[in-house]
Amino acid sequence: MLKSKRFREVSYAFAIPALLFYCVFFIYPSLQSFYFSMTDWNGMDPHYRFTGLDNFLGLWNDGRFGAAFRNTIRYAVGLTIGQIVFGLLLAVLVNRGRRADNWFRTVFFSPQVISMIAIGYIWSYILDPINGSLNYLLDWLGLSSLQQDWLGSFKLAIWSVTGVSVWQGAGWCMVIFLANLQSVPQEYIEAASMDGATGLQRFRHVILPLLAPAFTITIVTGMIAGLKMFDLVMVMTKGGPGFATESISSIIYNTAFLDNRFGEATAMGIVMFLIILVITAIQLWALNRRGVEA
Amino acid sequence: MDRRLMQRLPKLLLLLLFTFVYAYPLFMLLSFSLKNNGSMYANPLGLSGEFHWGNYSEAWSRSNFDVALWNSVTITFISALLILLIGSMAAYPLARRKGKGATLLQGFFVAGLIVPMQLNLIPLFKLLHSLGLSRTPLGVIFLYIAFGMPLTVFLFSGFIRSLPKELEEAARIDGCSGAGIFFRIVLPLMKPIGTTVFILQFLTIWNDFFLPVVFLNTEKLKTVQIAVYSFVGQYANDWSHMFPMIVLSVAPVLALYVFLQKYIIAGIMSGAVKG
Repeated sequence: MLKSKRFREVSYAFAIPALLFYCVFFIYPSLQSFYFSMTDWNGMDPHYRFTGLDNFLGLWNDGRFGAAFRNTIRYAVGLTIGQIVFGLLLAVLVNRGRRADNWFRTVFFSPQVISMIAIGYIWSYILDPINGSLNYLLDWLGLSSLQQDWLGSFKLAIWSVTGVSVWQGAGWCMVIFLANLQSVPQEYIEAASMDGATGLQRFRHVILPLLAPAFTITIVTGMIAGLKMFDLVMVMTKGGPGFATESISSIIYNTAFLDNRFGEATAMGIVMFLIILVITAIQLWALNRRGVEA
Repeated sequence: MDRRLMQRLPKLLLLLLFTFVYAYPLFMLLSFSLKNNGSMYANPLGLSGEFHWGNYSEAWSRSNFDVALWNSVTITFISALLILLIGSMAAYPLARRKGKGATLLQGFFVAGLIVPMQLNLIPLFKLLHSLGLSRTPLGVIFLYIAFGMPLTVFLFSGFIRSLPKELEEAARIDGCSGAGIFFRIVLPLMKPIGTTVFILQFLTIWNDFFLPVVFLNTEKLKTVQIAVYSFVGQYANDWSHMFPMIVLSVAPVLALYVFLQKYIIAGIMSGAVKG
């Protein structure tokens, strides 16, 4: 009897290949990074010293990391807010129950399948101050006073890059909001109309509160994508002008592979991980709390 | 009738404006890929001009695009297929066994969802070097498999739990072995989620820039993304050859998107849980 019961269990042996890859190439290096972050390793020299928390403390004396840190927060917040605003707007626009809606959705979602490298170069050209389409279009519309050096200005460059990431991410948010909108019971909306609520009031007081799950998902993923911002920076600005568009990821790459300061680069990776950890914890807390209420 | 039209008009105009904002960059890409630098500057919106089909062959040969394409195709397919196989195998006992062990192991895999590649990059660099795998496609394939496990195990185990156990039990009574049950009964039932995961991993790996720029940044090993990136480094501002390169790198995924749109959207959305 006992034997037949044991026989019925699925063997853990199935998980061995996955565990092997996962432990060797993911868990082990992740744990090791905490050690490397406390050394002055340069990437080649087998002799390196243990330096305690020096790398972490040193990060804040380095103007470049401070700039990258502030920029990264701007990317994350800008991307999150931007893609939610436009994603929600797009979702409302294509939620009319018509055949053409599907076509529009396909168009708005399409940047999701294209690599950030391609998107970065296409937009670099559009935003080019001399030959770019955007300044040309502004001129054609008689708005030449609005022409800018979109990627070359210290003030504007970071928002131009953020804008491109919003363009890329809004279609994604649109799909999340659409799924959520379609789960809103029709009776709620009808009841509100019977009580004399206008379209905007219905949206503000009935639909918007029911979109809380979509907001949670889009906020968290937006924040994390913004914190990891790398490809667009490398392609569109290389962190410049100055350090105006440098992100934590781009500076990790530069610190490790151009400056050969691997210890410090690892410390930066840990700072990024800790921020993601906190955001994820807040998300889980928010989801759990809602679960209790429901 | 007119009033209804007036009410709809702002919505319709907004839709058209957004369609322009989304369609124009792709239109510009295609149109500029067929121009020479002169006609590009003469016509910054890309609306007219003659077609220079030779841009493509020249960009292709100047960037050794066949090498990049071959690298991208092999790395992407091998990684995605191995992720499917290894991930589904791991998910099977996690979904079917009860008790603390299975829960813990599942948690161990899922915890990886919140670890960014930026955290373990430097130790990985050292590890691949000491294994003799640095600057090899195989090393990068191993990394993609490892990084793909958390999401894949999470999605697969959830799916297997939703499958009825009766088929597996019947097969067991008929004397089928554990491996036989998995490969002949469970695996074929996983087709829908398998398609989703494959598309998701395919897009992630094809479009990835972070690992290739660190580990495959050479003329022989470059992927499509690196081919585009390093082309700019060599021929800065040579946009008339840049655009055909970008078209070549984007065409495979856009073609897939047109035909498999529903699956692709489902695939990308199921990746939403990843940190």
